[in-house]
Amino acid sequence: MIMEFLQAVGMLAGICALLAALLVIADRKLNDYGVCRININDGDRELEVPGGSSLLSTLLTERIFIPSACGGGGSCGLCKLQVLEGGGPVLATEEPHLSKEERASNVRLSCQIKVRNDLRIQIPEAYFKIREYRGRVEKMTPLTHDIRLVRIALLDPPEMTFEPGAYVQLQAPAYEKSPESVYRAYSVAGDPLDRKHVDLIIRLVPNGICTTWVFQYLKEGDEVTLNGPHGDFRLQPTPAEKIFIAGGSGMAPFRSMLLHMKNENLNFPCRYFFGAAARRDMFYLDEMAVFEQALPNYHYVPALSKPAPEDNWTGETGLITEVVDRHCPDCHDKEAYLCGSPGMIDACIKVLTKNGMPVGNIFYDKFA
Amino acid sequence: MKRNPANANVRALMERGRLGRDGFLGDDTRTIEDIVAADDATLVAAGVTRAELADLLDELHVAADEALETPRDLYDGKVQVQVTEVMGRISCPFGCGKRAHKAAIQVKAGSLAFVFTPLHAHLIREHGFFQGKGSWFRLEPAELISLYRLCRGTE
Repeated sequence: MIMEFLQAVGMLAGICALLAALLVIADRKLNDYGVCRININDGDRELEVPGGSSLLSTLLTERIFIPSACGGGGSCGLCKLQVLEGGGPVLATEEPHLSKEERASNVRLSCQIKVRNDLRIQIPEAYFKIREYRGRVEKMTPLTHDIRLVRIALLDPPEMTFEPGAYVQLQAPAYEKSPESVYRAYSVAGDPLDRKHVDLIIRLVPNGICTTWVFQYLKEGDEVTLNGPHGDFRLQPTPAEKIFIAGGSGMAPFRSMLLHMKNENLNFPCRYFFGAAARRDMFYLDEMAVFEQALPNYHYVPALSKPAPEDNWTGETGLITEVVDRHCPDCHDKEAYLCGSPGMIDACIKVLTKNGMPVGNIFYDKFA
Repeated sequence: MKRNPANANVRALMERGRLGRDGFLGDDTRTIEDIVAADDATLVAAGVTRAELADLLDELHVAADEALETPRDLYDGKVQVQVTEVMGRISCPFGCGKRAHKAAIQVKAGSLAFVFTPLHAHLIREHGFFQGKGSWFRLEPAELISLYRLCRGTE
């Protein structure tokens, strides 16, 4: 009786194993898209790639780095490309990210398109300059209770050339609290002349995937992967007075710009308004004073919106928008550079335009 | 309760690591319909609607945004809100096309303290979804009702 039962179980297991094997073989045969050709920028480049993966990861394999903050999850909407032929219909997962104009121009999310046939695509030239870098965390410096400077020494390639205002995408690997690796964008905070290092200013976001990893798991000496440089947030080559406005980790691109201004002795009029809630949220006061000494036309205006009594703060107070409003009543001939949350940027734009600044003179790096 | 077949896909999107690191369900094994029905029952018993709670969250969000990451006291100092920096957007897992900024708005009111995002107001208003038990971002309807009464002066 027992033998018969065991034979039946064995036979059933055997049939199941056979069916599973057939399914695997069928999947490989049926989903074998063979070699697909990707024509990039009207034949400037032509790739021959195995089909079956997303366009984003296929290009990544070919060392073409398309910006993506969610690692291909279809939630950030950054990996847009023009897919002129072969992309198939727009998927429901893409629809929320595409405007009517973008759809008319065949813009698609490269993470959502599976390479299953030949494709003709357009990629901005700037993307070909983006490289993947391996680096080692050389130093982690607490700047405030929730902001850290992460200094990465580049290993391979050993140097990165970047313009002040650029950002990189740091890869947080899969870890205990995240089942898969993700990329997050951070502005470079370092000196553009120091090509061997990438400095990032990172603020802990409650329950954030990448920042939790940086604050709780990443250690000095660990290897990291990043790609870049990305972005077009740049200092304009005009003599107009520059107004920088930031708060928190929005300090990063301006620190890089100030280092660049110091290196190049760019002594145009410039005021930097930096907002924080209390003294404990303020950092780099000494460094900003050094910039003021080196650049006579540069002035740093830190402001606290809710100083604690023990702060003994004698500087500017109020929301950063109120401080800018007080200091810059006439902005018609100035330029503004903003870095921060969408709410902060929208509020700053409102004040600056109210005070006469043309919208075209406002440049910003929105955390969105 | 009758299950909506479309919710199978929704449930998949709510899993950890799909739209957010921790997902929307926590360790809740109930169906989405059951989660919504149980929370709806709490609202009905209290005589408060989804829209009223969603309106309150929108109100707190706008007030926190206006303070540009500074803690802001509201309702005669009974409630404090603070928005923290945001990065990226998150899509509604119900597939309705709504995308919301990933702001984290911290709320403190006496012993009550929680964090919500702009997506919460949409999830509650349109889908009656407060998230599953154990989810980092679940809002307990009973706590939200207490806050609502505190803010509206109907304690």
